[in-house]
Amino acid sequence: MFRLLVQFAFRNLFRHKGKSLVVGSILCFGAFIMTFGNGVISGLNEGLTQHLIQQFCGHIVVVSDKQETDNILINPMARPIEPIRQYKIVEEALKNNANIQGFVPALQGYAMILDDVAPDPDYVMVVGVDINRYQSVFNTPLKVLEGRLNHSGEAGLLVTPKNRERIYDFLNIWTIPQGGTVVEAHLTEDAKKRKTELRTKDSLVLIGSNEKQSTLDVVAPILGVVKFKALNGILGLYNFVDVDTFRQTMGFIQAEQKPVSKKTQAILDIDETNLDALLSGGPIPDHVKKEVKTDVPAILKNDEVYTQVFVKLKPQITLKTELDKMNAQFKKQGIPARAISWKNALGEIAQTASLMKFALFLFVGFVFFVAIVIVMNTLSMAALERTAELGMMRAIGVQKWFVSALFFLETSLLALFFGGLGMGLGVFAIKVFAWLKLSTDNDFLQLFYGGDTFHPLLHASDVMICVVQLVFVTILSVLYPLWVARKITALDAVSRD
Amino acid sequence: MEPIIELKEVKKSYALEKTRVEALRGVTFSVQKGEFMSIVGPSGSGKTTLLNLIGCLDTPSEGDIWVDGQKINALNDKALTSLRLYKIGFIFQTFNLIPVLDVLENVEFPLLMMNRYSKQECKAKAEALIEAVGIGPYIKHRPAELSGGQRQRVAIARALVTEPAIVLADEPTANLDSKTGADILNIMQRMNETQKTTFIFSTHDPDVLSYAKRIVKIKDGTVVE
Repeated sequence: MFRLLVQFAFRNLFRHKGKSLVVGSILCFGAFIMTFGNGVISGLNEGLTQHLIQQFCGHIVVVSDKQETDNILINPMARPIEPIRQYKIVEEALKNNANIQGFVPALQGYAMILDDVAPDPDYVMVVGVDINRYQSVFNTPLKVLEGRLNHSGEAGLLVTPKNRERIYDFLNIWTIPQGGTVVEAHLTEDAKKRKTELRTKDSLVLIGSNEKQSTLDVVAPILGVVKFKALNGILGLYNFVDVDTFRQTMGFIQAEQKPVSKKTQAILDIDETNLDALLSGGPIPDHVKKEVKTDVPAILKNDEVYTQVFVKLKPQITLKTELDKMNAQFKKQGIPARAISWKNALGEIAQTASLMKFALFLFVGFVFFVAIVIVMNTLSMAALERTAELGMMRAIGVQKWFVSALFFLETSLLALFFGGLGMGLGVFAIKVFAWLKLSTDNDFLQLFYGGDTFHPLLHASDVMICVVQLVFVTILSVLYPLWVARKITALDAVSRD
Repeated sequence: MEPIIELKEVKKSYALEKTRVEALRGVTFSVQKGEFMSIVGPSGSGKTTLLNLIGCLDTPSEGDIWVDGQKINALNDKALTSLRLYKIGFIFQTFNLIPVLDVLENVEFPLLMMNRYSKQECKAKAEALIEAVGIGPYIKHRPAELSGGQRQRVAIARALVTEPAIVLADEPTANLDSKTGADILNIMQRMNETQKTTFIFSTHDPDVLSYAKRIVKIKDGTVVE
């Protein structure tokens, strides 16, 4: 019976070539878009995972339990990040966690760059980290364009090309590494035009920007110009500096330095609104004195102050499970920290990436929907046009299941051939685009690409998803026409006569 | 002898926009096994409606119909379809063959649907009937490659291949020239005589009527003679 059905279906498809081609073309196009779209989504996922998790911040970012917001990495409001007060305990907990592949403690904050010529300072994001440890844990994410990286414990700043351009645009300073010269190829178009009058600097004066305004100005030598291997347009907003320089810049005093007295610290802690009273030379009013904070936080005397820890998990470890486990452990052991996912830590970037992924998913879904509607309509019309044939078959004793099977088989054969063709074309297009390695400097497109280059890819699981989607589309498209075909009675055929 | 078809006070009405059309207004008659009967009447008299009811293509609004001892009123679609497959053969006015199947496949088709015979048996039975209706040389031709008369012969072979109790033919010669029409009627008559199959055909052609052994006249939805 099945052989008869297949033979019947094949012949019908060839008999109605025009309709078969219309339905087939739609299925082919739909399958192509599905495959290619899934490839782009996979590439985006893989790229973001590869570049953000594996080469930037890890799967989990541990922050202080006092830190209220999650999106600490991309922080447009420049709110200071709460320091982790007892880092040693956090470090011990992370060291003993068998699911962690590696972790790097870091400090992060905004710093002003002061210049004796420019009227206003510039603000840049600075990350204080042991750069060699960071490079080691995150598979050498930073590539040196000029100069070099810090040696172990060496004080110095690493500037990214994005920040270098920003500093040039804002302060009219072209930053170069110590002992280095201007590399013409790295100059911006504007800097090239003004090459002869270019003002260069191999160190920058940084002053921290924190809640207490209790910071020092620090001269940081520029050791190198570095760029991220990928997503530099987005991640390039971070400058790297050694931990000690960061602490000095932000006012986190080191143990070997003399800590400020309680009285001095108390004056430094006076709220900004009461500073006028203090600076007027008169005695400090009582109501102001009451607001003076006399308990200097312990962190100011602790050289192990960090604002965050980037944690990279071992392969096969589920992020959600580990996050829950880690937070439960912190809570149980009274560790003043909390673990947040990389997506939450990245805030807008991850949200934008998720939005793009969702938009892409919606687009593929829309193509599905359009394909379903067109195929459904075409097949329904085909069913009605075949009333005489189907009705006559019903008259001579063909049961409804045979009509259903015939219709379903015809559509399935079309889906198999044209859908397969579309998927094949989709795979081919993915290979071609992956080979072309289209690159971009545009931040938005970098998120869409999941990196600097457009690299759609398909895993075996993606192909399976495409097959499932195609089957889903086929079944949905054929349901209504099947219902129409099943409703055709022998009497309909006779009435047509 | 128990009749093969029996109708008692059969009525059939259709909704036509806002009015109801009374196609049959209480038809009662029976058909004995092996009859070669014609239903005659002017256009719109209810011939086709009557044939559709006997052929289990439609169900009556009122009254009872028995086909080969089975009361069809209460049967569901699946049972009616089975009854058509096993008990009734159809010859339509416009030949109605399956266009993508050749002559042999068209004739074999109901047998394959019955799932009762092997492929070889189906083929042998179909070939025998194709020869019997005189279209052996066209066995591998598709309907589009045949003349009207040849197609109607294929339809007769297909109607008879399941060895049904009844063959219903709705104006089987209406679209054929007189010679071909006569040939078709001769074949039907021969099959009736040799296989004892009951034939019921509708017509309003006086020449065709001469073949019938019994005539039921119908007018305005009732049997008049």
